[in-house]
Amino acid sequence: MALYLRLLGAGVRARLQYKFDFLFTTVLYGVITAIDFLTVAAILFRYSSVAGWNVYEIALLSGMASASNGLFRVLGSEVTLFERYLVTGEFDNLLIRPWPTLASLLTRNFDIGRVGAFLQGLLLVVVGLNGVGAPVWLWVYCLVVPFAGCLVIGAIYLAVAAAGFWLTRIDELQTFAVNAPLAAVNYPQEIFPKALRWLFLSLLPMAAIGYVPLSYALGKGGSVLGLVVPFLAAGASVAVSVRLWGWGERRYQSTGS
Amino acid sequence: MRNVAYKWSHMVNCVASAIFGFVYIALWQAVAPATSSTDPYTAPTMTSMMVLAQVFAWVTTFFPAGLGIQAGIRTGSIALEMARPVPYFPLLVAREGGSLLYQLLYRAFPLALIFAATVGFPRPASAASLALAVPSLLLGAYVGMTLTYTVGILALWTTEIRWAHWTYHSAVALLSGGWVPSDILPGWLGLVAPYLPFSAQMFYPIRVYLGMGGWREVLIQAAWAAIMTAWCYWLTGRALRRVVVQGG
Repeated sequence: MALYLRLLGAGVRARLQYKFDFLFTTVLYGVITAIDFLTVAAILFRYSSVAGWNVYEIALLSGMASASNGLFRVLGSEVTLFERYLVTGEFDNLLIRPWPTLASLLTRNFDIGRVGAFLQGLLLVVVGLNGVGAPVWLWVYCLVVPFAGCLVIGAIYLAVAAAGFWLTRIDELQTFAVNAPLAAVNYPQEIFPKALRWLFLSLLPMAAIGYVPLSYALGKGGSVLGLVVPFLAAGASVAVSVRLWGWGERRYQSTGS
Repeated sequence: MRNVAYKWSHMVNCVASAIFGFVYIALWQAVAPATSSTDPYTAPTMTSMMVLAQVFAWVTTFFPAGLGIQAGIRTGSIALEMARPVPYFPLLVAREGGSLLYQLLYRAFPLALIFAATVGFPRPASAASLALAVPSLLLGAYVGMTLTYTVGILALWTTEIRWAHWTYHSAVALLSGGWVPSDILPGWLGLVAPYLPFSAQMFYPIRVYLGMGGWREVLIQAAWAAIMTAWCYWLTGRALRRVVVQGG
């Protein structure tokens, strides 16, 4: 962990050498994430609510998912680009290093520019909390949960990367396992057919980040246990993904020449 | 054939695309009225629009980032391509046009089958709507190519175009009318968006197919196709002066 933090610090300092590029990328990713929410907001502008969730409540759902994803894209950007390592044989370079491949991969590059998406997500959370008149405990809770959400989303990215040891091409699987659920968790899950709800609550548990705890916190159903679900989902999904990575790594065959 | 080499990956992509469609269908079914004499965007209409958006997007929108121009700049191959006796812009359009058939057969068609088997694939409003939808879709694809070309050619100034690619994709999601009809966007955006080139990609082909639009929509698309062609030629002329080969 100490090594990871040192490398993270070095990555941040390296990126800050190009101040304009850093600022531009940060603002841009924030704007892009904001435009994505505008699509949701445009629908709410016309219909005022989705299944009883108003624009502020939807902003909370969306913001928690965006902040979680943005945070992981800062810290684990190379995991999201793992197909390249498999196709070019670049993964071989990680295998000959004297520490675990996963540690090498996670510390290879920090996409600090994505902090804009994280901050924009947090901004949406703040707007949502303010709009619903949230009590203090909910403010604290909603600003902590994105860190658990980062682990949930990171674990799914990692599971997809691990699947690459068998499949090689995984970019499309990433679209299925990450991008599609991320689009879905902007909305209350009760609008979806049962099969999709099951998918987003179990196999790809992104609904655990915002929907489950917020259902209880905003008085829309569920129990108080819903508040611990993001943390349980984070622990379980990381454990499964790391295991899957280990299995996959043992059967890795280089594709490079 | 290189596009279908990884069949499993290909099938996953179809399923992922279908899930995006199901998400938007569920959303619109939750908010739009079941029937209405004043609102043209009822739940059944929006279901049809979402199905068509997912399928048509594979023809009009989902091109490789920047049409791969930035890769040519990095490897230096752009110098050879620009030195050919065929102008660079039509060369790329012709190449991308060839892969449209692949997109249609291996991306759009299987996706249409998934929707037909689940929520149903909408029928065209009439034979005339179907006949007009073909040029409308082709014009949409062409405008989409020119916009993607614009993103790609920016690499001659900036080298990196990831930011432009994602900005373009976000603009398409909001302004193309595929997932939110352009004319119901709030305020001035709803007045302007139908006349932006993004609407030519999705909004108009869908409306024409469903009989909600006709020649007027196709003419707007044709106007954008002409404007974007002139723009791309002008931009290519400017870009030629900036080619710096980085390969070696």
